[in-house]
Amino acid sequence: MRVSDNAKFASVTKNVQKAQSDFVSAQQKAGSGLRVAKPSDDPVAAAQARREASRKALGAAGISAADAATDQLSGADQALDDVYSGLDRARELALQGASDTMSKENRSDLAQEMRKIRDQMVSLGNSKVGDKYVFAGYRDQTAPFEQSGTFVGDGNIKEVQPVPGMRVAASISGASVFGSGAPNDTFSTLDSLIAGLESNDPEAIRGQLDHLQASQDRVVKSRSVVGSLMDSVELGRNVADQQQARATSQIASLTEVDAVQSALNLMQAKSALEAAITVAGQIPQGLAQRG
Amino acid sequence: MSINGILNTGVKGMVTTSLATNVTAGNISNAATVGYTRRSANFSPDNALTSNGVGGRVVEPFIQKRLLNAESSAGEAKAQNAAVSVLDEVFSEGNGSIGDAMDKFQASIQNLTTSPEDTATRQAVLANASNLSTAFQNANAQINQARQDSNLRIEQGVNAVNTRLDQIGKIGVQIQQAELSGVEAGDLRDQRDQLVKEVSSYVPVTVLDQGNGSISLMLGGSHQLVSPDGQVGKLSTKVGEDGTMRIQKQVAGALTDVTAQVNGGSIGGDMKARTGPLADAQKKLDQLAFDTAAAYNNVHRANVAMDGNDGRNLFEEQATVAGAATSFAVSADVLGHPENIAAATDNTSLPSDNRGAMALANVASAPLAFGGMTVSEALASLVGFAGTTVQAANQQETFTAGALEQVQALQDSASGVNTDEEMVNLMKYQRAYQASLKVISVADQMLSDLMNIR
Repeated sequence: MRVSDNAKFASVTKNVQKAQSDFVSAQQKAGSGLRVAKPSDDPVAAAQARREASRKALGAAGISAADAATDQLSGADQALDDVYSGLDRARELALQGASDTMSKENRSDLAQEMRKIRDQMVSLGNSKVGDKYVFAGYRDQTAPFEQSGTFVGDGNIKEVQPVPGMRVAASISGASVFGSGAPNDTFSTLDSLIAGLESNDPEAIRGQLDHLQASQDRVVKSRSVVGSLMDSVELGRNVADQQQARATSQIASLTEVDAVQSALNLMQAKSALEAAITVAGQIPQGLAQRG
Repeated sequence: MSINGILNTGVKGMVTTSLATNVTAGNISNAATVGYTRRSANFSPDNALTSNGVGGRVVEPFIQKRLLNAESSAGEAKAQNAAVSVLDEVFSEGNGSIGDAMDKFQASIQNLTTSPEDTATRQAVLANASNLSTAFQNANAQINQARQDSNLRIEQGVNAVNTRLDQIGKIGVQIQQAELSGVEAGDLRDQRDQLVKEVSSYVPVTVLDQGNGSISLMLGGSHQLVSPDGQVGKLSTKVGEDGTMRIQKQVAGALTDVTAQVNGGSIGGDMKARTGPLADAQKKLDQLAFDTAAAYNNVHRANVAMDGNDGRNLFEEQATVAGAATSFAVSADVLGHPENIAAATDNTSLPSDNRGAMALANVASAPLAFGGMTVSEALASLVGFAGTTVQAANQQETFTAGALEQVQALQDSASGVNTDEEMVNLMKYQRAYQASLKVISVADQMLSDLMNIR
């Protein structure tokens, strides 16, 4: 084929330009670590990465939702532990007060301690984690127990959604922990015990022991409920966590470059560019230049 | 034959070789001239060199035709790629992208399920909803900008074509006049070929050679842009009744719509990009914005806000899909009133009833009204569409540019100047010139010898 001067230089220019653009693109990939920086780099991967990005974001949000629920439940669990110990002490006091050998003065002392326990029960019923009352259901911005022991909270069980579509119960109502309505609820029982101690009436005290036992049983049961709630929240958190982790690794494999491969590509592009430049310098002198 | 005849022949040889040298000199000095076709010194017995010392143009009409087609295709692909590349920017990941804004908005809804009573959390939902609307609006504005850029390029292209059409018309007349009076018009023909080639990068044209040095230049084979006698049909743009851009041709006051014929070249490429991929992307964006707003609103209206009332929108309600991306905005119902975000389902369980918020969070993973895709999937498919479009345009540009190079190389091979070749010719002519001189000198000697006979 006949080669004109213009064609000779045009092909050299073209080759150098192509080598240059390949080199710059290899450099960008190696530098940014991204194989897919814009959709056209790999449309299918970019679309998949977008979906994974949204899963990743939802996963992260789900994890924090589950963590917040776990915080609340641990707070409830701690409070229940304290309630149980408090009731244990109340039981000891009641048993002492029920003894016929006890003097009136001694019973009055016991009554004072019993009153403290009752106050403690009310404040445990109004336990807070952060700015939320843990036993108040959805009405968690106001104390669920009045000083009288009346439950004014919300009876609903709160739910958490670690993954869209997966709802997990994540609260326990104060009403189910302390019971509702005299004479069975914990506060009425304690009130009756205090009254019995103050009025020096062992018979009345003995009459409350079964109710006290029922209160303690409720606490034990509540603790096991809270424990199983924590387990299911944890399960939900794991799902969210796995989703996030899977999405993260998917995004990486879809859009990021293999470090070794990209270093290799860069080297190749560099030598191709150098070769093209060398060739450009190798255009032979024409007859005109020889004189 | 007389000795004088030998002298004449010698002189003719000298003249011929110096003319041929002139041809070579012309080729060498134009080696780098764009659009120059090399001339060849065509020797013929006796009447050496047909033309008056400028040599004949070496052209391959078939390659010329292919070159025009290749120019049109390359121009079209380049313009289209330039126009649609905006989609790559619009749908790239990163801060402020729709994807990023959508993720953050959905995450803020998820956070609302944890703390529906918290004003800061509610404000975050509003802020993220507003960022999402900004992202939708920006994306649409960016595509609009690209379409306007296309319009501008079309206008500029039309002007460039008109200028060249004028020149082609004038040069055509000059060529006819020159060649009628026997003057070689190779340079003018080179210029005209170059102009036609330039026009073909804007609009697809074909050349009909009229044989007498004149051509008629046709748009897409059916509409004459330049007539053999130099009449020019100028192009202009107008906005059609349906709001689309039209191209029309004006000859002697009469306007003809030639939009359908402008299906190539950079003008055709920009026209196609405007009405094709860019418009499609906007439609898809509108649909996504519309569906997103409707899906969240449906749930939000059923929910109960802090004041115990339902029926509020989260996003402005949109009447039509068209323009939904632009009008995507946080509803006046909740704008500036975080307490009006409806996160509850039961007005007796306020303030921390999060069941409404959870229902809102579920919108992210529920299929939209149309198409059965979720919001995220619809967005992902839009990203895929953008990527495929830009990638295809990229590849098309590379491909057509390669094809153009190939044809250009063919043409160069036939019509380009090779200085080495010219140098050899130069030596050849120099020797021939010397030989002719020798002939004269010998003839002279013969005459002198004849004179000296006693």
